[in-house]
Amino acid sequence: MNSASVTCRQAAADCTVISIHGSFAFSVYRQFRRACEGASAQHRFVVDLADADYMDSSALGMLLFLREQAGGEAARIEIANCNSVVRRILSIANFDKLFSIR
Amino acid sequence: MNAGLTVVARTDAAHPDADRETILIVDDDATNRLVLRGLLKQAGYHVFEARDGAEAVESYFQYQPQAVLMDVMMPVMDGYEATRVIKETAGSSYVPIIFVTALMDERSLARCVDIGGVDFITKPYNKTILALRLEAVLRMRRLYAQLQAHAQTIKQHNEYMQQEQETAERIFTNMVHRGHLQDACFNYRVSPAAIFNGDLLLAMRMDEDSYRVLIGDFTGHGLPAAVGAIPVAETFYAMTAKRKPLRELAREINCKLKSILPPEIFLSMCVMNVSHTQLEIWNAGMPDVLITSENSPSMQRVASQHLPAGILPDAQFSAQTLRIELSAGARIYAYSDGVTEAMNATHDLFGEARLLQCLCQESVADYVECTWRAVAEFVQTPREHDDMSMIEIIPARI
Repeated sequence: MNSASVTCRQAAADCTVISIHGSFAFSVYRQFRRACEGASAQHRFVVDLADADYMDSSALGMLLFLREQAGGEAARIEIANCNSVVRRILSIANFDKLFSIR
Repeated sequence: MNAGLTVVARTDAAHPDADRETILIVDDDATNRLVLRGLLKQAGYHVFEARDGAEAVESYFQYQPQAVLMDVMMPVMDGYEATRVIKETAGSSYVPIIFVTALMDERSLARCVDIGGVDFITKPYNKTILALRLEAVLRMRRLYAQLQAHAQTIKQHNEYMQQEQETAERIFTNMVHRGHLQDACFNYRVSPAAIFNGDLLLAMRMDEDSYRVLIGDFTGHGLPAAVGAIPVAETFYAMTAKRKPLRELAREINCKLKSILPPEIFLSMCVMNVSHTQLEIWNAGMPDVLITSENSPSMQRVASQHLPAGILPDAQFSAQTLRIELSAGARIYAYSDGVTEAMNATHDLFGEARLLQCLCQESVADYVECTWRAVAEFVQTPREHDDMSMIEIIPARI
């Protein structure tokens, strides 16, 4: 498997952008969890998948983890720049019901 | 090894301290032995002596010393031969033999090393240097022994864990994979790795003309993914035996998983009631369920319409099922995404198109078997985590 990584930047005072590079799968679990630290309902998150070529079900799990950390129902999370493979995986899981996907 | 040594030293020697290291001196000259013995005793070692190579071999295996100081030229058996025999018999265990020799020519010294000596000291020797080199050799031996002990501990732990896992897998299989999957209306395969990695395939007869089937796939791998399968299986069998409606089963499983699983673990699943003429289905996060019919080349799809189980609280949960009329020769296919995501050496995925090709072939008795062969051919070298489950349901055989 090609190596994957997670980077995190503060886009605004109340908005964090988490970018996934490579394969969004179990190998980035620790990095992703670290990126979720300090999440709250007052904070907005964008998960940028422009550089993610693939995602598996543990990636879906990580998105749910972020949602829980960011306030569950009240969470404001956007999943951005999905390619067709990733979009299909998100749509099979019906994640558009929980996240705003664009 | 160490325990054995301690016992030998305590019984055969004049009660030396158990942690004092034992050195075997091999020399045919009594004076040389006396000098060396004095030196080593003073340095705190426990000492045994041998007068020639043959005695050395015997003493070596009797006392199992931590190091040997070996003279080269001796009657009966010389130092080279004794070293060869000891090395050969000792096998893989580390035997530090230091040659103490009057021979100075390069060839003789090279031979000492070739034959397996760890060091050589030429006579006449400097006492301090001899003591230091002996200590260096012993330090290496201690490290080696430590390493071996660690390796042994790790090996034992591994074996223990493996055994535990095998037992757990047996219990797990008994709990989860029972029911009526063997009946004539099903063809199915679950890859061995998938069983303990959270893939679920359950089937149970409801009544004279219908069955209930569940195919599911927990997030992630390994034990965390597998444990959730147990309450799901229990719920499935209990509620199916009571002929509870499909939507109630879906709701109950969702509710149970929501309360026990951490947020990042969930179950993609599809539950179905199948009779000769009708399919009732609730697909939550599984790939499209495919329905082929005898008289039409086109395939019907039932896409996932719900979030996987274990995510939504009960209040927001929708257990809306779909009902589909089945034609006479219909067959139903459900599979976990491990099938279409099986990857070959160049990182290509098997994909749905190849799966559809398999299902479109004519007169195949067992399409699951056929798909399995196609995946194996495509993947070539199977990877460790091939989690694949697939079932073919033939309503006409119910």
